[in-house]
Amino acid sequence: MTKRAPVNQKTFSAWLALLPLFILVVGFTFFPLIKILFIGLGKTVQPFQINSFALLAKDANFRQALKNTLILCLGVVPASLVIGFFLAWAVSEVRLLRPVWRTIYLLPLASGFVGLTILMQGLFQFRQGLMNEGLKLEGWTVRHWLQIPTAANAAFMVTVLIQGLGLSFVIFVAKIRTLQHRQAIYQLAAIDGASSRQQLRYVTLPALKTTFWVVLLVELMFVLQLFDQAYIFFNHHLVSQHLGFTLTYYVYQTFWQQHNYQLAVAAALVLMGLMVLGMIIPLCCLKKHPRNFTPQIKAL
Amino acid sequence: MEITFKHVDWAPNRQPAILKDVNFTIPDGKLVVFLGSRHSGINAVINLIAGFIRPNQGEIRFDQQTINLQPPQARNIGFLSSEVSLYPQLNVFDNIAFPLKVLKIKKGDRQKRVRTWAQLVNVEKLLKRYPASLSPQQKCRVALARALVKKPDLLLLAAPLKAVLPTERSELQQLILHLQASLGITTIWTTADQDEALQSADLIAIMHHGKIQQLATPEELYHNPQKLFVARFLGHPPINVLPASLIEPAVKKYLSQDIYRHAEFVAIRPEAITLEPPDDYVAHIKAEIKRIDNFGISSAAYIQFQEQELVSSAISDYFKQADQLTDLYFAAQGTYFFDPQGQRIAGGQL
Repeated sequence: MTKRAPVNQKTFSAWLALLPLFILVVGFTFFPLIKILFIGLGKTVQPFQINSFALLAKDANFRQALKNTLILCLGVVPASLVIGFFLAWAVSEVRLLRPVWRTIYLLPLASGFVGLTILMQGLFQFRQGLMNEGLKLEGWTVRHWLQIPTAANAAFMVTVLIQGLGLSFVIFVAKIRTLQHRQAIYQLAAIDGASSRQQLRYVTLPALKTTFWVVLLVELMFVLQLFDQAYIFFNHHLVSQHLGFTLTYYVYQTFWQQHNYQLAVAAALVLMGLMVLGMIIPLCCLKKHPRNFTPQIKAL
Repeated sequence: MEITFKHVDWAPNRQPAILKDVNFTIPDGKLVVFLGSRHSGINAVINLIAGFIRPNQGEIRFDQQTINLQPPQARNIGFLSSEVSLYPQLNVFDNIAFPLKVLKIKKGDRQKRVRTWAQLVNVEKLLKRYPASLSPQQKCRVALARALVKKPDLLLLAAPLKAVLPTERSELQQLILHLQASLGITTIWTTADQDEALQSADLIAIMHHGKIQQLATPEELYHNPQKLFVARFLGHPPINVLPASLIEPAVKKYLSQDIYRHAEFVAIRPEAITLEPPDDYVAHIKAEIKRIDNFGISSAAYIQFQEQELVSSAISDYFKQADQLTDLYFAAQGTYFFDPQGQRIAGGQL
């Protein structure tokens, strides 16, 4: 019989296993965060104060960045959730060429954000853009799509949505596959009289509740951190006039271009607060899993 | 509802057949147990009746109506399985109410029926609990209420007591039998447990290799097995099987010699081996009782007969002494002769 390791030894081994990652997280995440705060409080620049937030609130650029970020969150995240789920569900239901469909919808995730943004930007270019080429074929007027703010914003939103969709799709596909392995529950629903639509509503959707919150969280983080895509899509100098001018971009602009550390640090903290909020709300909304049954062993 | 299978074959995709030419009729209101191992085809029978799979050949009828292509939703069946019987994300109340909800029964009526059934299966105090927090026995009770709440025409029970603790099985079994008898609902029950089958069934269908070996009442199956497989399958301790040639010299002369020409095996129920000659016996042998086990009310004797070991069971203290050569008799009631294909040719009531 093998001897069991004492609990303390086990805990020590666990800590030892966690240590390398802990060092990396502290070194590359927490240390820069604290450093930011110190920069804000440093002597070379105006000290970081609470009224930095008041200054930030008065800054029209910040308000615009916040508004853009919220628009993107409200526009992209729910759409990504709904479309991602239905695509994953439809692909799981289709038997013919299922791997091909999966690959197609997974491509945005696999192809990399920068590449896909350039590709999407290419679609709306005035010269040789696929959109205008298509319009030409139909004999319609071609336009400088990326110079029309509404069209450019819509195209950017679609780009972000497609990029986020890959991730939500793959998470939903994985969960739906595990559900389909539990065929018995669907058989039970069918024999209880539930149609396919009722099975989706009463069996699949409730079982995916946790997954919905996870996808919501992931998508929210993705949208709040949008930067590269905006930088590339709007050719850097046009960003501030469009939806791509997000909070992350505002932090970049105020820190690196305007060297206004005070505002940049305050904006970064607002952004971090939004992310923390985005993480806490879904976690609070998740109901605790019901306690597992443990048989009561009566003392002899 | 009467259930009929006519020449039903079923095989999963590109795999050997699971059911081969299955024929039976289950009369309305009866409780029929399909008894067999996991791979005998009992699950396929349940799945075909439920509509989860469709037969490759043959016909399945509910009250003379062919239902081969009917989806499970249209069959009005109550279903209880040991595998999954409840929806994990719904509490007990919603689980029982689920079939009524999908049938769009009004909320008031739904609540009334759920509470009635919860009371009948004794789970009215668990209505707010979730399946993960229930014991297997409680889950089974809730699943039973869920299966019956929509007033089905047929109840399918796929190894319903498998997950339940042995000490709690009897109580649940009585509950199922009581509800089945009160409702008069045709019930099909699958199990690998012969005690469960013998205690519950109006009729038992013993399945092996995708075929029904025999469909009869429990008494008929025990006392008149048509096949060696059936004789071997039922009984504790199991029936003794010997090569027929071994007891030929010991067989009473009045039995037809013709039987022995065709008989390959002789099977003797343990209680049919006696120390005193019964009124009607088939054979008389001399053998050595090697060991006697007393179980309080009953006892078992392990007998060495030539190269074979036989088991005899009787009331306690019936066998007095071990390790000595004893005269033993095989009572006609409980001794059967089978041909090389395992088909009964003599013994019992042909």
